[in-house]
Amino acid sequence: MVDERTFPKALASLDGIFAHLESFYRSELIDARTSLSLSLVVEEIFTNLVRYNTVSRNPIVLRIEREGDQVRLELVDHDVDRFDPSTLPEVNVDAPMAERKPGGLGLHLVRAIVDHISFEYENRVMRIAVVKNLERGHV
Amino acid sequence: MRAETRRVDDVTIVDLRGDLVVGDGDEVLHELFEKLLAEGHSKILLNLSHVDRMDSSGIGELVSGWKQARRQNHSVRLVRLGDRVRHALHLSQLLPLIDVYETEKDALTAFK
Repeated sequence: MVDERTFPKALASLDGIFAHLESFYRSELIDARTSLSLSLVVEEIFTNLVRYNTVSRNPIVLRIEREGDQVRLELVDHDVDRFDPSTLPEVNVDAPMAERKPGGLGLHLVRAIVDHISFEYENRVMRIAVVKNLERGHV
Repeated sequence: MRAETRRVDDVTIVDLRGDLVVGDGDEVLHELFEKLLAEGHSKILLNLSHVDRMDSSGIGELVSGWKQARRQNHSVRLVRLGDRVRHALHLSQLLPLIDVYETEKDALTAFK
């Protein structure tokens, strides 16, 4: 069953989002490490929508569901301009500290955590969906 | 986020409390590095035991401050990372590059 909630498009919503996610993790018996990872994914995507999709202040929809050994998360942002984060350059996380450059790290974190990520844009609606495979034997 | 500084010998320990995230802790950390480096603090130890979350913006400021310090031949080290912070730094592949300690005593010894 898909759990769908809307949250005001503001960084202040993050506390409520985390509380909502924690409730989902508990009900689905998601382990602590996966929970931390998924929360970081949602935080990074939500934060980017708040910071960069500034055309509208419509609430952001968060959908979350578990299907077998997968968790699927989707964030939907309405009435926004096209922006495809997948076109951003990859950050070089193998670079020494002194050569690290700002930008792109959020998307790297998301990609490092999830098993699949997709971006859709249609009729001024942006949908970012991620799928995380749960470890084998996960209850 | 709040940042309180104290000195132990020649090490400046910064006790950070809150979230090291966009629009809050990242700005605090930016200003903190600017201030400490301008004042000539050459050994900086960030105590992260009360930092609950760190996102890409917080990590970006940490890297930026570390680089700024390094250019001035100063050093920045971390102590007492929580699970969330450690996980974010691990995913960023920064843990092998930053000096991280479990206890303040260990960190202070390493500065000598």
